[in-house]
Amino acid sequence: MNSQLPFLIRVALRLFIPSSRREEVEGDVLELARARAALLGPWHARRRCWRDVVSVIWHRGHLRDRRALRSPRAHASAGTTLLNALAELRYAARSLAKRPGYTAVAAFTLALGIGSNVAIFTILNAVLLRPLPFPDSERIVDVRHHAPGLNMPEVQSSPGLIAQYRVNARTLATVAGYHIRQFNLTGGGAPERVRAVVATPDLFSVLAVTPALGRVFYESDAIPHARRTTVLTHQLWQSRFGGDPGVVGRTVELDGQATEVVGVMPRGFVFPDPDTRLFVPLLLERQAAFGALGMSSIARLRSGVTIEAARREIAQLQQRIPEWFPDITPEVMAGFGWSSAVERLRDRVVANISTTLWVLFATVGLVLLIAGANVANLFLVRAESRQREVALRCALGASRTRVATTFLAESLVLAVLGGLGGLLLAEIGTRLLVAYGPPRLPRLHEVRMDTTAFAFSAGLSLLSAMVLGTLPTLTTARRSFTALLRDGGRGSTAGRARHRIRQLLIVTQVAMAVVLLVGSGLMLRSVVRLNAVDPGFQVDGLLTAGISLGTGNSREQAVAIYRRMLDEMAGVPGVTAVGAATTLPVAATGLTGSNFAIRSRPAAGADVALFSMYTAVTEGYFETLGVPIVEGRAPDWADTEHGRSVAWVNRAFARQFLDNRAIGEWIQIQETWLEIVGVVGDLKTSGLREEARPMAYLPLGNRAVGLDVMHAVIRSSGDPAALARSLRAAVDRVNPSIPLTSTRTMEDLVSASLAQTMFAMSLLGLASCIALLLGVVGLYGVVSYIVSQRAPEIGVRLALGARPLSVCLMVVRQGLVVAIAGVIVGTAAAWASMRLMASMLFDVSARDPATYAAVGVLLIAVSVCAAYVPARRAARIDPLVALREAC
Amino acid sequence: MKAEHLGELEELALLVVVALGTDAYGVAVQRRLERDARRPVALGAVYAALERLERKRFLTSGFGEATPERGGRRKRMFAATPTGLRALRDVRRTRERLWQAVEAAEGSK
Repeated sequence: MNSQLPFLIRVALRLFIPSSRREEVEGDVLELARARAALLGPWHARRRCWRDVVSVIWHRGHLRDRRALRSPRAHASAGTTLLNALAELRYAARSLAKRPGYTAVAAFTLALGIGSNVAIFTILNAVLLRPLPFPDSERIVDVRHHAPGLNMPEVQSSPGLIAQYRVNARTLATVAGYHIRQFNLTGGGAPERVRAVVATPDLFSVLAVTPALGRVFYESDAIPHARRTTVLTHQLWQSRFGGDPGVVGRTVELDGQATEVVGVMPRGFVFPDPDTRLFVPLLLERQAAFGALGMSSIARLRSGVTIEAARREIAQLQQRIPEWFPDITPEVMAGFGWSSAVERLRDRVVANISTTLWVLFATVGLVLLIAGANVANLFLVRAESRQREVALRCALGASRTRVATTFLAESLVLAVLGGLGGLLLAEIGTRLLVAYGPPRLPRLHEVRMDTTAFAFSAGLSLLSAMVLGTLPTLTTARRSFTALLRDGGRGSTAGRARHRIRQLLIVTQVAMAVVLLVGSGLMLRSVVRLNAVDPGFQVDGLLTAGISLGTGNSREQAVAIYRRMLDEMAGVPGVTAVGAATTLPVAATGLTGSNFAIRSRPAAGADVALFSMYTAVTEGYFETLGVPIVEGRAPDWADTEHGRSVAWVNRAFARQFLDNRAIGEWIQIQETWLEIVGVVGDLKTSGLREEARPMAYLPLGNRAVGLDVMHAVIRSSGDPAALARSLRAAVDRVNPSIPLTSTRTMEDLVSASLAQTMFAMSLLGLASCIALLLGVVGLYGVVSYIVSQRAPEIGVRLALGARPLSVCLMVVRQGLVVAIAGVIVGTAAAWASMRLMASMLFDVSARDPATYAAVGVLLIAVSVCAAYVPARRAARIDPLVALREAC
Repeated sequence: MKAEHLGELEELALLVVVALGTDAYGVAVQRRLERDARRPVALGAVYAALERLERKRFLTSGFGEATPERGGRRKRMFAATPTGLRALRDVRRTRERLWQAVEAAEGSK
């Protein structure tokens, strides 16, 4: 600020101060600035300097252009146009400040609309639109397979396939495989159960990330008998090692095996979700067998290759599977319904949530439109009351543009207020959504308000300002001022054209409210249906807890430990039943599935894919859950301890594979022949939405099922949540070093599986309530306004003997016609658009007639109520007063 | 006549211009106002007041010299016109009359 004013200040002065006055003003500002810089220091001086400039610009209406004084027809420069605009803005701000009620209602309505849009947009942008935080992430693809014939929720890929793609797929630069598993982490702190990604070393080159410390895996880390290594996430490094930079080279124990920490990933690196704590190398042999399905595979496209090309190539490679893996014949593949899919990793990550988010975005878009329509109505009414002022200004020579600018300025001020309020609401809303949104919403940790969100809200504000501001111009500025003077005077009813526009706005509002209400009505019905779904067991009073023993015990030892723990738990006061299984119903993780054979039908394998999920159970498991034993007997400890070759199957299994005659049949799972000794009721395995899948249950200890982790289910007479502490104590009596993980009530698990649906339903419900409210207020406002405009006419009618009831009906009818029109349009729109929501619904058609009818009736009823209030007022008009006021 | 009415800030600004004599320009007027009238005044408000005074023909103005601390930009110097001085005196007389009335009223209590 030594010899010159800061650039921005010079620009501001140049824009707003007439050139004939600029020299003195600049001189004064500079002189003040220098005097202050010596006194206050540069920062305060600069702030004060801006205050000077703003004050000068604010009062610049008095700074007449001296040349203009001399020659009245001085040409309007860009500067003076801006000056005019600024004067209008100031005038608008003042006149709005004089009507705080109107301003508050209009700005708040806009803020509601803009805020909800920005909030949802922020999440949509973070989750769906922004690329994943990896270099060149659009080239990272997820390769998976579908096999509906397998009755397995997720087929993904297999080690053998990944090894073959590495060699044969030319469109893919690198292919990595990984799966998720839990480890017991010991050494350097308390034992901890951690979620690990077991990945081929090239996972990091597919993601193209480098570690913050140390290194990632070499191929040599993934050979048999190599020294065990691990890479930590930033999160684990901080929480367990306090961010110690010397952690690289240290040894920890994973499931009791000494493992060397070789690297730490940078902060913000998340794969595949924020729950991952560390990475472990996965050995993948070059000539691997087909192996177990369920391994995920991601790949990086070779540069210049499109995803379509990769899709085509992978689809073609499927035909070579029988050649690579002789045991998988084309017939087996056809039985599986085998197919492949290549998708961008981002699309895969967000696949489940994307429809919900887009529907929510459309929803809040409609809310904004409704809010906008309401404000537009308020605005029109206000514009009308300014008719005389406008007419006068026109008569005195104001140009149309000038008059239009007046309205634009007011709408701009309103919209800016609304936009600022909206940003505030969006900030709050986003936090609430992140805090209370579905816990499994992917990429939630990336959500934050950013410049895109700001730009988005600024855009929305400007757009609404433009629409609002031009609306009265369309209806009033077009007409001649003589007409305005005549029409704007007292004693005549308002022009029909303006009524028409307002009614049209209401029709749109009602229609949009109908669409939203139908949407939330359908969601509500889905949730009701979902809650009515029988999960196959008794949810109330159940507590679940994970017990992770880890590896390193013999089978017999592990079984003994589990039995002792369950016995201890059963001894806790209040506990009525206890059992355990390797997977839990509803929120199944770590489901295993396999081909199997049936001894009595050796030929069945050729045309039907014999594939079932299976899990190991203990005595008391079915009893604790409340699953009925339909036929045969329940499992007991003797089955486990004597290693009996027995199995149980569910009804779906018996129906699908054994024509409902399962008892006494022998099935072969993972090389072992087992006799079916019982049939149990169907359980929902992963979520309430799906049909029951065939399921086999083996006694705990069977070699087909691992023993490193079990999930106990505990039924108690008291509050299950209060039981957790006594359970921990019970486990400690057996072995205090065994972690008891994720103690949750079964109700929690069930509601977590409904979280996304509930989330969508509550937001849709909230949005449609707002829509209904705004719509009703709008309708009420318009009918009231029409009544007030028609007061003289109604007065004449009443004076001439019209009955108050008929006047009342007349007014209600006027509101009703608008509402019915809105309902018809809205129903048609909903009919056309609801199928977009189909995937979010459960057991309800997107064109469910009951919902549509209920919404229509509701809206018409509410509209009648909204019209009835002003109608009563109309019926009570005193003819004398009305006529006196009219004349 | 309505144009001859003096607003409060206008009155103070006009007084300051008279008091400053030959050194009356924007910044100087603002400084003096802040110092003697003990109230912070925005530069823009000072301009507005001076402009109104000039329009009421209580002030005249013209370019003065340029000083280095102004980056070589000239000042607009203000001077009170006889009409302005008369208006100030009128205001003062009015006030004095009113004060006499006030004091008379207090004295008779």
